[in-house]
Amino acid sequence: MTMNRVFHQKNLFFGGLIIALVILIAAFAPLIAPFDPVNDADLMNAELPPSASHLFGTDSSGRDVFSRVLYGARVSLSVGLITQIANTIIGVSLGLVAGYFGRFWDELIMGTTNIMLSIPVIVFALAIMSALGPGLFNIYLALGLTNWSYTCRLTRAQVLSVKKSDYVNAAVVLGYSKTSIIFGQIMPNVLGPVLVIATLGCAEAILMEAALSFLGLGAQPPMPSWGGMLSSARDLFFTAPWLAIFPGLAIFVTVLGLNLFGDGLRDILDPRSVLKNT
Amino acid sequence: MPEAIKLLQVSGLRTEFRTPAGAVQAVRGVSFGLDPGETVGIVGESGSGKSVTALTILRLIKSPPGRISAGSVKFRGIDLLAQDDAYMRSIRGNRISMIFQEPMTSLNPLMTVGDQLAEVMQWHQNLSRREGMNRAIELLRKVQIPSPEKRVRDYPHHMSGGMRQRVMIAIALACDPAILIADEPTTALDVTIQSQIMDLMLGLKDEFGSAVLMITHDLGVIAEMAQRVIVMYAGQVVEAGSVYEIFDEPLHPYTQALLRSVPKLGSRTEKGRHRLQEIPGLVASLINIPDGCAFRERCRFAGPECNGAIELQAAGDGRMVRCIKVA
Amino acid sequence: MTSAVAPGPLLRVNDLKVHFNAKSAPIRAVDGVSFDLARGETLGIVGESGCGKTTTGMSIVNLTQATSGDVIFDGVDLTHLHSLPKSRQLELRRRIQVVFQDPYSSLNPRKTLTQTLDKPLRIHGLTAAERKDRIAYLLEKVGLSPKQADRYPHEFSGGQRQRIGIARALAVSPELIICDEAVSALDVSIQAQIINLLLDLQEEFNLSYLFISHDLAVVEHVADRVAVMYLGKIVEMAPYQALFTDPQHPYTQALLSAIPVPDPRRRGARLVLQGDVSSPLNAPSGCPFHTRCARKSSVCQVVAPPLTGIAEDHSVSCHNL
Repeated sequence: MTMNRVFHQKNLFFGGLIIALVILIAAFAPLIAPFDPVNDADLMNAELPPSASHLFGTDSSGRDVFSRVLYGARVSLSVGLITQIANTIIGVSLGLVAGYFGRFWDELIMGTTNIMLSIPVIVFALAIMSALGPGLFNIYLALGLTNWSYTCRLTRAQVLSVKKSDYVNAAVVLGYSKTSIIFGQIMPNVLGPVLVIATLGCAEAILMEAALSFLGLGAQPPMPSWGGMLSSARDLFFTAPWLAIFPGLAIFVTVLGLNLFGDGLRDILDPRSVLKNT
Repeated sequence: MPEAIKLLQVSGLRTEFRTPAGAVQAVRGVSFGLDPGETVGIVGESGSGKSVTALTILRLIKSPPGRISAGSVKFRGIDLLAQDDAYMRSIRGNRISMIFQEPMTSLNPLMTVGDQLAEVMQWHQNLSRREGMNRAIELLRKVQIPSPEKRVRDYPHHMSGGMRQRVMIAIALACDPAILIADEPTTALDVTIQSQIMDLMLGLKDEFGSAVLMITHDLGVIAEMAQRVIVMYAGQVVEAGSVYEIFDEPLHPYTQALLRSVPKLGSRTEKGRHRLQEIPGLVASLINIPDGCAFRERCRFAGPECNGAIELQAAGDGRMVRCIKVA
Repeated sequence: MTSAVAPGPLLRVNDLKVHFNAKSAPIRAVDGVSFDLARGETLGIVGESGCGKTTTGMSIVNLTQATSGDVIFDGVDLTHLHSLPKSRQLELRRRIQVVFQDPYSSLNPRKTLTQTLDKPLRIHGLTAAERKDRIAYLLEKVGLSPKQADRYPHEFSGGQRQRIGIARALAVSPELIICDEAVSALDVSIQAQIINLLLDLQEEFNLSYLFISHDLAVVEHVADRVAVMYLGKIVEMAPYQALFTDPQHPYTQALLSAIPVPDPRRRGARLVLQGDVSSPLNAPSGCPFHTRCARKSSVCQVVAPPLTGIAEDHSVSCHNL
């Protein structure tokens, strides 16, 4: 039944397909890439347009753009994954505490999320990056510690509604411990929607990393990252447009895949769509 | 003698809903008539198709997933299922109106009750706003809301559940409908309030002369309000007759079992408890319904002959029953 | 499994009050409720919405915090449950269980039937083998098939879910079960099955029930004694025979008369009570019922009548009997 639903959900299916493809590319980049993305520089063959030997052309140092785009998937995916794992852990933990214990904790945590939500994530991240300095690891920190407010609020709202349900009351009456109620009874009913937010957040983080790299704050050259490639293509857009087009397309397709997947996930996890099935 | 044109004649009505698990056949060939001024009760448990029948009459089935797949609903001889949407809008709330179980969700929380009442009359009867408001006060008085001049300016959340249901009744009666369909109108109310609303409806029925189609699971409410009773099970009419016939001498094994399974006030006289007569098994699923009697698996009289197609048959003066063992 | 038969009632509730803070005045959801419940006995609590019947039940199991008063269960005051040692708390928890109204929200949608029943047994110290046997035994007791043990709640009908809720309550061998509108959400034909199941289980395990319901016909059928509540107070309490054949309080009389009887020959015999159910938000002074009472006198508006015994085991709170 569940598998059947997954296949009937076109968004989920195509989104999943794209993500799977990007993951495979990132994992097997050394096997697929025809050239080394960093060391195979050949100034004699710089800024060549796409051809049979260089599918996406070459950049100003003569490196193969196709290989660099393949390797770039590693940076983007790692940023998406690591920052969202961090955001989800922080958001869910704080949301559970705020929702379950309420009172002081709720006011403290909700106050903090309100402040965080009022500052645009990019501004927040820029501030952290300028304090810590550029680099991929600092991107993980800047994006992994700043974007948990939605997850936190969503978790809290879910906890508040689940906490009142009679199955949680029954657990209290049966003598369940607090830990067992929070992690055994409440959390599994919270994770579905959180997963949707995490998927969409993953796409957001990838875009954010591209933006930060574009500003020169992300992965440092010569490490191939899509945002960094776009940044160095900026001045050559009219003479060598392929330098911008292919990393741009890579970002577009990956983000699209994640968003489709997130939307599809939301549709099948929506309690109303579950209800229709029973 | 040619059949006279009925106020409402429902024939062979079928409604189904598409779900991933298969087509839910909610209404499976329901037929009945309604005469001017009479009150007919449709009684059944959840999944019997009683509410879907009511919604189908007014074409309030959302499509998709719902679909009215067969039958006709003739209102004064005109088949409502064949008319366009504009025609249906001129019928709904005007010639045929409906009240629902949950008075809170059926009222607009952002409009005063007076505006909501006046709106219906402005729409259907071309009344001015001022005339509409005056009529609204009059109607609120008719449904026995105290100091109606003040209450017209109230919003629904200012009112109790019983008061809101009175407002719903006032809206339903605003255009003097020929038919009032009431879908579990007292189910969400406390018992003393239910009693008030039933009295109100009985009184207004005499005054307005509308025919009432009363849909409920509560046999007590049916016994109190209806002249004729239709018993539904698994999307079909299993028995129909006058309220006295149904309660005094139920013919269908389901009706018999249903009446016996209700705890009746005052029935426990001797010391000690007795078990209720229960109906074994589960309410029939409406997906992939097998041929034959839908009740047979829970029926103590069932035999192999119950597996064939079983028609609703006449059983004496105006009575109908769908059981091969009875007819 | 249980302690030796103790003298006195299994449960004694004494002057229980549950007040909630509101902007203006406190809401007196339960306002001085007292009753006893013996082993093997069923006390029905009836009343309309907002009368405090559910809050009374929930404060007995500490799901709602009592403001004042005592809840003595087998000699132990449960209002101070949290100050007892954990193991003692667990043992007391085991002995009182609840069957909830809504068969849909009372089961965790992400737990199979086995998981729902296994966890409480583990908490209360049964070994894996014991738990397996116990689950099989429970399923049989409540009329579910072992084949269904690995299904999720949405795969069951409302009546079956209520059977699961009963099995869960029964799992830890309680002595008292609070049935909070336990059959109200069920279809008539299924309701009869569940009522019969509850009666059978009571007989077999000598259970006490606190049977909270708005449905007087059901309560008459299952209860030994009945308490009628109105706006947080018990207005009449009596054995079921007396309460249903000879009700004394005007509210009890009106409530009984308001129920539509499934017999068209007795139609129109209802005594219609005027006015709305008062809300505990703005409870009237004096007798809480005086705003709707046909028998009220001037004293009713000022002085709340005490619950007074008028016959053996029959008490009423009314000035004008």
